[in-house]
Amino acid sequence: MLPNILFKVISNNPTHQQMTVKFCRENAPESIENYETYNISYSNLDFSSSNALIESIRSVGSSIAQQQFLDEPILEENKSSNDIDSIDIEDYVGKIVSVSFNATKELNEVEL
Amino acid sequence: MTTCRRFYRECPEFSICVNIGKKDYVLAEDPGERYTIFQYGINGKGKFGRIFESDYITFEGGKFYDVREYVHDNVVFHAQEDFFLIGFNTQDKSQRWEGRLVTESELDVTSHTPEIKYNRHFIICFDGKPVVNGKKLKRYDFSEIYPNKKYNIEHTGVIGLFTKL
Repeated sequence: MLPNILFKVISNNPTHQQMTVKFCRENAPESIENYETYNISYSNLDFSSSNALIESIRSVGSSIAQQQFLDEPILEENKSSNDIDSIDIEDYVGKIVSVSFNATKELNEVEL
Repeated sequence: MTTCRRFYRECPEFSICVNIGKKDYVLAEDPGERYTIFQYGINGKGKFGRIFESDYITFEGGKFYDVREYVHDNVVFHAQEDFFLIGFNTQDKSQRWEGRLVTESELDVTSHTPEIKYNRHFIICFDGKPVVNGKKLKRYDFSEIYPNKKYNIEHTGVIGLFTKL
């Protein structure tokens, strides 16, 4: 389950049929004010109901919030150690190991 | 409770499926999902055969099995011990493959016979840490093997050789 997405409309421009919005995820490490502002044209929004409007803003914001999540820097203290080639748990004690979130589906090819 | 952990890894030419489970686990596959044509047992023991037929193979750890003839069948595996099996799967059942374990210390797939000149060869590390041309392989590492090149192998592990015909 991923956290909710927050959005904040910063400005509205009916003349040019667009608005500016900030997005971030609910558990973002910074205030939404610190995130980039995006222009959204009315043509990308659904004004048929309030729910439809919010859903159409969500559909723009979800990929932005996901990219923010992926772009977050790695804290110096969370940087992983070199690969550990061992089946002895003692070799892992006190070390940070980085593994992919999902199980890999690709075989590892080695050039010989 | 009998359990089994399964996973699958692939490359464009083939895939492998791995089953790691407990004694008495029963695994059944129908032809729609069965693409395994060779099998290697890391450890354990179990009976494998076509469903409702009396003939069966006993898979044992450390051995390689040719199961090409079962690829279009309903099959069942019944573990007699805790087990760890690796299957080599074709991506296309009409594609012909040969497979075996590598036992030679110098592998050379060069052939001067025209009809087999264009075969493709792959090695896969099944167990241990064998060293090929100075490179240490880990389990599930694979490499394409080319003709007119010699591959020196230190047998500190188990390697399968598969030829796409």
